[in-house]
Amino acid sequence: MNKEPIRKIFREFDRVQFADWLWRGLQSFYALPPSDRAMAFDHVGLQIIQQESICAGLALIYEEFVPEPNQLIFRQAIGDVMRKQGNNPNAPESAFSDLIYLLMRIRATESLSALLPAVGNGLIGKRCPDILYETITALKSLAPSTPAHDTARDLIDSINFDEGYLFEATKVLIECEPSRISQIVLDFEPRLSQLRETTYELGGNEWTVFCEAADDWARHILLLGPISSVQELWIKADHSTEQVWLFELLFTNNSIPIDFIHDQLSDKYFIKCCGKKVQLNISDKDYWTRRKLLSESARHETEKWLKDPDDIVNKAVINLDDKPETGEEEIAYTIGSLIGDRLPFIVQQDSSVCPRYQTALM
Amino acid sequence: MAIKLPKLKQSELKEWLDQLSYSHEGIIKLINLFLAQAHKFVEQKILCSFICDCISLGAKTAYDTLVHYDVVCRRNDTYFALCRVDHSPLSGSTSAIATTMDSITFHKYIVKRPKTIIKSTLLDKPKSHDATDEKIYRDALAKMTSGKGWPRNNATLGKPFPDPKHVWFTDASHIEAEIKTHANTDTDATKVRDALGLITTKGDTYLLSLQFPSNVLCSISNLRMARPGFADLGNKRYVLYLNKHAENVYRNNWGLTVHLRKLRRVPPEFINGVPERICSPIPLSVVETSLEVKPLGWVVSNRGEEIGIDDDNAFIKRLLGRRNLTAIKQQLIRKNAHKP
Repeated sequence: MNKEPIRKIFREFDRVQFADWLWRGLQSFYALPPSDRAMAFDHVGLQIIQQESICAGLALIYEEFVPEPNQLIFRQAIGDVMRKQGNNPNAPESAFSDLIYLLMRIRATESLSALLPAVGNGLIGKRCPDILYETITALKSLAPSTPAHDTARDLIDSINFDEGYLFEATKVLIECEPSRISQIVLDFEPRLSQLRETTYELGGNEWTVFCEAADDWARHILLLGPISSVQELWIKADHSTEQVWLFELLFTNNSIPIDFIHDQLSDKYFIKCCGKKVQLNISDKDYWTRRKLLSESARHETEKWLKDPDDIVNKAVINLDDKPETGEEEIAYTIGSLIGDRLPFIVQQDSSVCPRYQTALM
Repeated sequence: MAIKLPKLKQSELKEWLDQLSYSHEGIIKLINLFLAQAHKFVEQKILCSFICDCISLGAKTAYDTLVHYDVVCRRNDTYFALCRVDHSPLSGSTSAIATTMDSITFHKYIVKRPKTIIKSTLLDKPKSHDATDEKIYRDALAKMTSGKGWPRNNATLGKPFPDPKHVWFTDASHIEAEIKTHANTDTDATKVRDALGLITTKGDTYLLSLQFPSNVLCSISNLRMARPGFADLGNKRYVLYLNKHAENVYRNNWGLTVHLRKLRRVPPEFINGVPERICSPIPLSVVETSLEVKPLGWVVSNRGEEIGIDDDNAFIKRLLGRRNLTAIKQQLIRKNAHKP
């Protein structure tokens, strides 16, 4: 097919015309019987229907038929349609879903802000709660970026936001602003705690899903910072053994360097702080394995540690000798205060598994 | 369903064929109509009926002619049922069959939205081409599909979404074999895309292979299955009859894809891809327990864009061989038009 005549038509289009073309096309697509859908979308319906899906078809039109100088206004037009139709009671849900997937496919970050009035506060978000799934996926897909961050931040406080997506939405924020991890976690602590309480009371699958999501969230957060740097955050969600919930969160003060050590022989985990080595109640090998994937430097450090864990122990001992004035009590106090003062939420069902302040000292 | 031989006027047929030959896509369709009839893949009355249906929609432009061709294919299931005879549903197939899907389509149309209080979302493709990101995606996908109840209610396999018409599938062993071919510069997904002739699958697509035991198909009532024909809306790289080397494949009621990588090669060689069939959409609920979702990885190139190498024109030349388009049209008119 000769693309030039269609490109010529689209070259003349302004933003309003693109928005109009998109919406009329989508409406007509869903109004027609499936057999006749090649008749929707003026000029290019056939090209769209020949793709794997309507979203793939619209993305193809953008890439191959919309001339480059007009591609920006096409991307902006997606947002215009969402803003305009977000409160239209007759807008087909599928059309909105398609727009969000189109936005994702062609990386139309210019239109992300339209998700707030349409999905977050609009009728379409209220009518079709599942559309939040697609919205969050789009934000995750387009993060890190300022529009993704801002939209996620606003969406979290919007009318139609479903608290169940809080883990996912905060992942977007954290990915966009990794240096603010601690603050972001602190900001959302009450809401996350509430979710925890609700699901814990319900138990069963709801609780399992919460635990998995919390665990996944923690892993995601840890992927964003190099392991060799100061550990900002420690989370461990262990629901696999005896259904005991152990949720540890450790914030450290950036001025106090803390190293993370795994002793392969004893299979125990330690943090090294102020020349002392402190054992942690963490024993998830998979957790450690994932951390190894973090970054090149992290991998290098990890391999170094794993190669000769004894050496680390020796160093720790030397460090201990180097600073005899740092007593055990002081370290316990330091760690304890770090945990106690900065912990956004401590959740421990069984204090004997992880006493809040009783960090075992070496 | 009995179809009488419709009266197709010579002038109408000529005009319709002329309209088709205004576009590359139309020419590809036209040549395939000719091949279908020449190799007896379709009865004359069915072909005539199909063309009559297309003409009756009254296209005014070449583009409308193509649109109407598409509409008639989708409207009328008769052509699916009557264009081929398939008494031996999976002869020539071994253990598993495979169909491919872009990961984004898979997540949008196949994966169920969570109904629990806590709702996790899965990215619809790896975040980047980086190996770590791909591992994270593969792990998450494997975890999800290893459980139960992950597909949406009423989800079906087939294309195009949201209302699939057909499932295009091949024997899974062909996918494995293609991955092992020598084209080491290509990714696995690119090799599979090329072998299956998926010209609309562009670079930067993350491809999944959905596989399940072939005997599952037998358990689906009213499932229709056949060699692809002229009314199955193949993409722009399809051919109903390639060459005598594929006779065995056709005899077993399989079609053959056009191999996109082979198509690019100079000097010309056979462009036979892999055997393929189509069937009506398959409900996920039927195959869910035995369905394996295999990530093939990233497709890293586009096809069909190099002028004179693998573009539409080059493909048409390959299809025509020593034939000529005017002669093909005349032959179609001579065989099918009602003499005034």
